[in-house]
Amino acid sequence: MCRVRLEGFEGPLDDLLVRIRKRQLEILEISLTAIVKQYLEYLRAMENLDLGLAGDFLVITASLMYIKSKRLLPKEENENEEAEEEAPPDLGLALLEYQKIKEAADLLLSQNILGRDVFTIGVGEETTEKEEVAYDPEELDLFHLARAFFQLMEGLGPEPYLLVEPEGLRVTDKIEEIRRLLQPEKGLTFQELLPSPYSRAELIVTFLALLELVRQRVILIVQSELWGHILIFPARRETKWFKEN
Amino acid sequence: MVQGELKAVVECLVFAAEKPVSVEKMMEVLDYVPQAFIQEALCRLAEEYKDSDRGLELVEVAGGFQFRTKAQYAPFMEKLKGGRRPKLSRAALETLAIIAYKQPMVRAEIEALRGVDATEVLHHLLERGLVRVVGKKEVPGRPFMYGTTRTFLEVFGLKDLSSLPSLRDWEEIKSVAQLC
Repeated sequence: MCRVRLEGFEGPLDDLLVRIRKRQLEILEISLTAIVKQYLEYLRAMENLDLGLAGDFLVITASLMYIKSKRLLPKEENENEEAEEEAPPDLGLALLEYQKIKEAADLLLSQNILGRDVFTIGVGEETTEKEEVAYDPEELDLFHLARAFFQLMEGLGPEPYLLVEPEGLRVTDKIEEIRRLLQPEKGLTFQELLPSPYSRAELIVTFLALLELVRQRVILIVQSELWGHILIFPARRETKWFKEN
Repeated sequence: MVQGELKAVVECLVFAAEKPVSVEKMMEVLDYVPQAFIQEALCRLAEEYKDSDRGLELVEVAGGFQFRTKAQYAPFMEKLKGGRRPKLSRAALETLAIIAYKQPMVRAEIEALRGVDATEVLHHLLERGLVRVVGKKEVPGRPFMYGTTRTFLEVFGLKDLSSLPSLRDWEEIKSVAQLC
């Protein structure tokens, strides 16, 4: 972290912020211009720009400016207490917390890591084909279960049922429709009863409607050959048609 | 079984297993030889392998025992193994550190600490088997809580979570490094 040298303070910048927040230092006596100047010099002195440091600086300086501008603005009488509560989250402390995390991460890195520093049977073997991961049952969790499920679902492709229009698909309606379409002289083909394109549900409903009509002896169904077209005739005419042929 | 033989059998069990072998497992295999005997055999084995002319060492990780190559021979092992496993990114490492030290954590808590979205990184850690969902937090939205896995302990050579180095240890490591 960049060190700053100011009147009344010398040390790392984040330290400065913490002290100001704790009211150990008076913000009005701190020159922000001096800080920025020193920081720019510091950046120039560095061979490469460290984005992390530059970012930290921006955050801290912004907090300092916020505090300072607030102090410089005249306060309204009844605002005093509220203003205290509305203070932004303590970025200085957040940074310290984050610093700890970075150190914890370094701490993990300093361990003897399997596959980097130490090896055991099978670790780091090159696998050419995609590994079939065998999960330790004790390590299995919801994530694995959910992933397995969603992968399976993805493999299934879109569900045909999604095409179905929810309304109007009732066997009784279909029966009415067939009755209407039936003509005394002419037969209907099964295909004519279906909209195009049709869904599986429509196919089933139409078929059920036909079966029901057959049971009620309203129609007769003829199939001239195996797998051939299904022809539908009104029952009474049909008997006649049969005799004629 | 003769006492010397017990040590040899324990050595076999640890050597041939792919995962760290627990003392309980060894007891099971050895028809419930008293735990103390096994502990002692392990101790003596570990001592023998500590010798400087050995390349392996017996370590206690993730609640079991395992033979591992000594860290000083890593360069040779690296050459042998060729393609190394993909490294963890800095973001992944920091996220893992947060989860390891403060578990169980929900995503929002992790994001508050790191200040950035953690979705991708968490997914990556889950894929690598280093963290897992340990439950749902009883707050509105019931978010997932994340914790570390046994694989995490194995990868970082930890006996259990309590053997995670403390930040105070870290201060010491740093100050020693400065003195050197």
